[in-house]
Amino acid sequence: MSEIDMAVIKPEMMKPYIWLETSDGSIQQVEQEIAMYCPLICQEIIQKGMGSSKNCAICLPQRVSPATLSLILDYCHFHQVPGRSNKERKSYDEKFIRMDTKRLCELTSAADSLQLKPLVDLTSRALARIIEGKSPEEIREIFHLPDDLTEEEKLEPLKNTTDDPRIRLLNRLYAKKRKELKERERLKNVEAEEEHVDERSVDDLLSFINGNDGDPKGVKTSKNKKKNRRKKEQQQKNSSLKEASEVNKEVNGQNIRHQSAEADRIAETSNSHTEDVFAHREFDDGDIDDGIDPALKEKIDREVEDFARRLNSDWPERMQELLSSGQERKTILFTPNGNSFLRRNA
Amino acid sequence: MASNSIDGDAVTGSGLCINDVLRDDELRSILGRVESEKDKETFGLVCKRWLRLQSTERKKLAARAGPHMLRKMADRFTRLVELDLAQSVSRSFYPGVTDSDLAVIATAFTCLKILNLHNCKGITDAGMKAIGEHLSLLQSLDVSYCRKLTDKGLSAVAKGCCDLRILHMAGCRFVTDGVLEALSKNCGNLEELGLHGCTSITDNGLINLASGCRRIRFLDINKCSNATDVGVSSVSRACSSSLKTLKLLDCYKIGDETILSLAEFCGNLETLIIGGCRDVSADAIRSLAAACGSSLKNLRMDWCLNISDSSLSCVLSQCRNLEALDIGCCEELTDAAFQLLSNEEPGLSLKILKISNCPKITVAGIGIIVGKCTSLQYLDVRSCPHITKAGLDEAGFHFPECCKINFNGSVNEPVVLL
Repeated sequence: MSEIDMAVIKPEMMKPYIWLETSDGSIQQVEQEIAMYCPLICQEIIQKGMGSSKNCAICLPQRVSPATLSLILDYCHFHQVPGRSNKERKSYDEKFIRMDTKRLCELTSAADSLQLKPLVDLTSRALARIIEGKSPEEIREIFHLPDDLTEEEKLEPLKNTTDDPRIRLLNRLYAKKRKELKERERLKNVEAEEEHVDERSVDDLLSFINGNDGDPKGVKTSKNKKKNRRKKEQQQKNSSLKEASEVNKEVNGQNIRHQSAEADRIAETSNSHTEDVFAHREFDDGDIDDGIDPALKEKIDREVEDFARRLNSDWPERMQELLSSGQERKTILFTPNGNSFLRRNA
Repeated sequence: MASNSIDGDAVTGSGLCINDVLRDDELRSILGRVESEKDKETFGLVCKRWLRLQSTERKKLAARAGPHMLRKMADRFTRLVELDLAQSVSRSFYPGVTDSDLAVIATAFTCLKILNLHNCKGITDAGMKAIGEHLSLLQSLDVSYCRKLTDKGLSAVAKGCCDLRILHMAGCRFVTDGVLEALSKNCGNLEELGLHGCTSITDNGLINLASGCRRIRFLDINKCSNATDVGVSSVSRACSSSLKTLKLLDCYKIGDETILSLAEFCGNLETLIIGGCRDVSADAIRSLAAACGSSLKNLRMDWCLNISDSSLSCVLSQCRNLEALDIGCCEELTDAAFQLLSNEEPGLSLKILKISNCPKITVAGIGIIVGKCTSLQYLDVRSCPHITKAGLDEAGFHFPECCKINFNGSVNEPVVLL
């Protein structure tokens, strides 16, 4: 069968053929004209006389597989024909290299082993285009490369470009530091400036202490100090008087309770006393709001509360009321209610 | 059979690594076709093998490093061709480049061809000897302003680096004729020689140089005040057709004999600097213009006091390709030098013109120049009492758009004529 086919083909084609053997042992017949385009095959044919028959086929390098050889022969078949324009060749090359990365690598390797330089250039450029614009991780993934670089080797040199925002930030920080250093130098050079600053700081302190907008002159500030002291003394006296009045109120409240326990007749007088107590409190509160500063208010409130606690601790009834209500002021307010309960019970 | 093998390839190809398929030559070929510098750097961050290939493919390096780091660099960049260790004039890291650095460079960078040691003030003859012993492939060496170097070290370089083509020794004041003799004996392919400020050079050295180095294209003996017509003429005779650039600034002993020799032998001369050569006559300049008219591009002849209007007219009319001309301080020149230009049809290709301190040239002369020099980029009219900005504005000349006029020294000067 094979012999018959060959006999039939030969008269028709009338072209010389050569035999090529690939690494896996398969032998195929190729037109000599096409195969001669490869420099390696050309050398084998001319210098050693190989390939003329099946028994002395040209042994191709290990890296040339049958599939790759087929691709290479397609390439040679196109480019060995004379008369094609550069445009045609370029468009053919562009289509030719559209293949997956694996085949492209194998093709590069095979073409290099066959010393087919135009094809090596073409495939190298294609692989270079795959690499361009990608990060090292992407390149490793595409070509299945091991990540065997040490961390030191991976460190990229820091490029000192003004576009980098980090560089800009550093430059700003340096600029600030320079300004600070210049200012310090100025301060050292001119001592008067320091004195001026000190004066201002003293004024600020005085104004803070006095609580008023202090004048820069010292004499007035001293006067203000004296006035403030007088005001403080007056306020203290007022607070002491008010405390005394409150103490009286508390005492009145206690007496009222004792009297209510004794007899019903006294109940009327107790009602009148409670009314008086409320009236006094309202009046006193008005005085406090008008005359005293908030700081002094706080002090007075604390003293009042402390005094009330001391009084409450002496009386068990107060303690019971404290437990029931939970707050001092509420106990004071609820005394009339307590009285009403006592009346009903009695 | 075929289908089975194809399937086999498909199965194994799923995890195929490019490093298993391609050899170093092919990977190098791919790296060579990666265009941008950033991608080339990325190439070296992928894996060890690619990093090694990237390192061995690096050809040029500019560094500032001591012996230890230089050894590391040499271990990594094994095929380095060009190394730049030039230092700044005003500020450098202490101690700068030293002889121990040069010893490491000489023994480690064996493929080095170009070495730049400009302004490395700390190196001495010991470093030069190391270079001469080990860097036999060196072709270009720049030791300008390495002030401690003497004949001993540089002669060792000349003996050891026989393929030397470019040697710049500007500012090496201890250099004498001994180096020129060593170059003549050993470096027959020398093409560029810079001796700016080497005041000890004499005619004997130049004669020796001319006898051995016959392919010099560039010769700079600016401020070599001991050179006379005898030495320079011997060079012009020996390197007749190859000489393209000759710098003789302030060689005040040079006279007509040199200019006539250049006119006779050096038909390809492109750059000639004879500023400060006071004894050159107008006739010699006329002969030069007639002989080298088609090739001359840069001509500096400031302080050539004998230049006349007629000789300048010859230069302007015969040197059609002239681009830079300096006739500063030629006090006898007048507007008559430019009158002849008015009648000629084609304009001049002049780009840079310096006529500073020519007191007899007036606004009318500038008008002629502006009309003919349509490519003018720089005009220097400093210290010309009759040429002022107000005068030019009043005259209403239309200068080319990119032309800069220097009235009082405020414009940066082009470096073409230096």
